[in-house]
Amino acid sequence: FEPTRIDTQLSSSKKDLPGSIQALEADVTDDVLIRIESYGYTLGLKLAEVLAFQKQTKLLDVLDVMKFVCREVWFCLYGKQMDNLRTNHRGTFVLIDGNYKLIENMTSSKGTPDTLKKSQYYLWFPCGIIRGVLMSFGVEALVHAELSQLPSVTFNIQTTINN
Amino acid sequence: MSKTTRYSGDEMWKNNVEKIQNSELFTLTYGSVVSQLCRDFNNNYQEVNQQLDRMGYNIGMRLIEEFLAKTGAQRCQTFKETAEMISKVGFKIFLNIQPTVTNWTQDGKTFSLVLNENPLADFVELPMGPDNRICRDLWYSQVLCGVLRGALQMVQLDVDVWFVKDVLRGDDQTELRLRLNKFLKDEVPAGED
Repeated sequence: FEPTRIDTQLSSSKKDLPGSIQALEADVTDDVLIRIESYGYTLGLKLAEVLAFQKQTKLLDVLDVMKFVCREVWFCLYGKQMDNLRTNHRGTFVLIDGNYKLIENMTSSKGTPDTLKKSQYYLWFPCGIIRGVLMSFGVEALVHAELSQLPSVTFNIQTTINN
Repeated sequence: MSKTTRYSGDEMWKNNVEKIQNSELFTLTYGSVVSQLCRDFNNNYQEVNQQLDRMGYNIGMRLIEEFLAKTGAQRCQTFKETAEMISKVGFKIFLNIQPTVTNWTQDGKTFSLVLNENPLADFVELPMGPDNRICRDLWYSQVLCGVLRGALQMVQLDVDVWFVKDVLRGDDQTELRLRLNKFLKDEVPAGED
């Protein structure tokens, strides 16, 4: 195959060369975001098994699973725990990481709104991981991340289980 | 190896590297990338290799900065020295392995790196289809080729890197081959003169 060179165009968007983040400048399509999410999902599925095996934790209900995400999973991924876990006891959970590692050091030369916009794309991956971990324990969920103030991220989790 | 390298790779791995808690995380992440690529490209493994190489290239371009910052390494004088540096320092500090440098060609421009262990391929088994195509076409750890190429490109070495053997395919060892094409000239980037 043709090896990538320093002047190889990586995509059809302008000046998308190796080492640049031009790809984020163009509109990122849903297709791409879904793909990133599914990277996370497969990782989450497997990671849950490895961690559950290593830690030998007993997970009795959904809340335990959420705690597991906040503690073990997050610690494994980012070396810290989630800062806050809230629930309405009707299947909705809110997980808050006040200093999310993946986007911690991001700044755009075009100012904060642009940083927020571009950081947004990075949140699909952890959403996928959380969804994967939950699925691995039999909890079907919708995960959505919100980013209002860098680097604090709020993960909203909607499950179908009521307890 | 250059004496100006501040630490040996061994010491650096112990003291100076922010390690992930769980090496499985790294292996699993890479695994899900490869499997997703296979899915995206409908098991067109040549295309998957190409994409992995491209990702690696992008990683390598940035990784070299970290490498230079951590080691304070000076320019290697010969390609032999470069080879030592790659195996004893580069692989050591990033993956904690030390591939063997062997099979030099007469002209000293091509050599092999034999990976005795490959952290990327822990727990990996390529699924055997009826035609066994995956074992013929896919180079699972192709990303390493890209990383090496990208990193070396940034220090003015134009190299080709490719896999010749992979344990995952049933070979006796995992072997990478590096060929030096030319030394690139130091050039001022366009628009910065």
